[in-house]
Amino acid sequence: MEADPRFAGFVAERGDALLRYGYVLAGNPHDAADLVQEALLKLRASWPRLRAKDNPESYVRTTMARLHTAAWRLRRRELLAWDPPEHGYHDTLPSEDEQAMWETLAGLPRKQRVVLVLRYYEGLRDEEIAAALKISRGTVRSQASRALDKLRSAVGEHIGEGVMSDRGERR
Amino acid sequence: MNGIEERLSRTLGHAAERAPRLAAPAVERLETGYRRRRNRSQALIAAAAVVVVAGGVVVGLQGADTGRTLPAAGPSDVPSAVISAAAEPIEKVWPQAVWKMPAKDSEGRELRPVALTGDGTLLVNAWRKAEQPEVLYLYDLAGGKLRKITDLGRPKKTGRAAANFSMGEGVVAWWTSTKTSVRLWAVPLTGGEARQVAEHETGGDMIDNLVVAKGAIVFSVLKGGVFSVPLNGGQVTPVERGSGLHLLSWPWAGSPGTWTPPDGAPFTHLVNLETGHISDAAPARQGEQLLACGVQSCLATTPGGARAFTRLRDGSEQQEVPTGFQIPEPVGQSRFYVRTLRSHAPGLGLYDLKTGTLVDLGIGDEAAQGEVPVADRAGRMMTYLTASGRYVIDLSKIP
Repeated sequence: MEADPRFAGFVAERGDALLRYGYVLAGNPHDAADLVQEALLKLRASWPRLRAKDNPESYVRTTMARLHTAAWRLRRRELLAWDPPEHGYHDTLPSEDEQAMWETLAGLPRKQRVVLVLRYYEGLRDEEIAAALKISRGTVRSQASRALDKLRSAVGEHIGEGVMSDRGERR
Repeated sequence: MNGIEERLSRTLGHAAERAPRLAAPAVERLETGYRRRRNRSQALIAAAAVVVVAGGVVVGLQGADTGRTLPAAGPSDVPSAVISAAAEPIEKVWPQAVWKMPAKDSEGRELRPVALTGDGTLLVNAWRKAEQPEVLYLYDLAGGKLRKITDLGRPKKTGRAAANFSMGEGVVAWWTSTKTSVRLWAVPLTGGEARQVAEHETGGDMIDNLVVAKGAIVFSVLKGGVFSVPLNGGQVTPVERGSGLHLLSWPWAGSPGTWTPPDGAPFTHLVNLETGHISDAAPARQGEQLLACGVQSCLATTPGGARAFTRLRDGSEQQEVPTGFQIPEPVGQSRFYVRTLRSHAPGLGLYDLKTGTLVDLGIGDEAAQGEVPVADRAGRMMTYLTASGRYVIDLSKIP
């Protein structure tokens, strides 16, 4: 069976980064793998139609964010059984503080979590998030603010507030 | 960003490090799944014997925790001389080619080998957060010492961190990006402050390869086109003859590029940017499929995709790739292949087609976590991480 070498190359080169993104989106390795797999299958299906100017990575990332918000039911295992390892090389987050935040994130509604991940992991601006998720900028802001409130009340605000810096970077 | 946002961003970054690695036969499974979905009545096609990878990684090795080899790598297809030979550890068979180094620097940042310099040192970058290189080092392989070349700046907002480190003429060059442009950087290998050589507006397009050559940084962009800028700064100008092409390795640029859909095997068309010499690969013969080409040779599969082979670009000197072996990047190298060693447990070996030697790379359980040898762009070095440290294999030292 011929796998398109460029698609294979894309998966090989970007697979791990996509899994990292899937993991912060979904919160666990199984759903992360499912999200990546589903998005890559869609990419594979549209690969012959992609034009030179299309960026496969942003296509996949947008697909993953949309899939995750769209009450996407995990219909996957019949399909590919990706079998991710139970965990990566590190078992827990470096600080209790971060562990607590990670657990709080797990309790957020999907849309709120996705908005936070796009803003603070992907480093997207609100208008870019709005476009990716096909929602309004106002909704992005209100979802983000609600989610941040929950995080704040769960883990407390830190001293050292108000240090302004650029937001997280795309990776 | 306020306190909670800062902490959230940090938490997400750290959490991402715990993500699973790409499970092994990802591409075959995707291909299978895609086909099954496209036509559910279609019988499951056997997994491919070969996966070619452009990004420097081999995929398609073994199920993450099934411990099964791929169907196409069945023992009956593999020369018995190979399968029955107990593979010796690589450091025993080719001691002159194997280096071991620490996995992390003194600050706990993961060390990532980039390329060998040719004088016993290795260019290495290090990161805390995946894909955010923070520092460049030269590592003295024999002495085991790291020497810092430079700290790398942090990208702004939606920019991309430093990528595609490339050495030549005593400097290291790389690129970063902003939303609409790419920035080219250089620093002497002897160390110093990184210097921005140029900024080039691309409207969001990314660089697909970059080299240092002829006193300049030469690079190509994803949508095609080779450009250059003098190392000491100045205008970015299109390279003559490089229009629409993608840099493979100096002085060769060609098409299609590795990432350029739609169909066509990468680099079947090559142009020598210095001399204008054109090399078009011999087309695939009836039923065969050309997968990708390098400067010297092309890789193709037989009708049905059951077997893979390489041929020189002119179509001569066909060489079979033994079934069950994976072809590491760059595809043009037609000598070293990777395969699973055991049918009952994870483990990877390296096979030298020239001498018929199969060695144990020392990747055991790590293979189930997705660890595979990664080559540099030139195909001279392979590196991988095991529980006992990081291995660096200098393929040029294997006789």
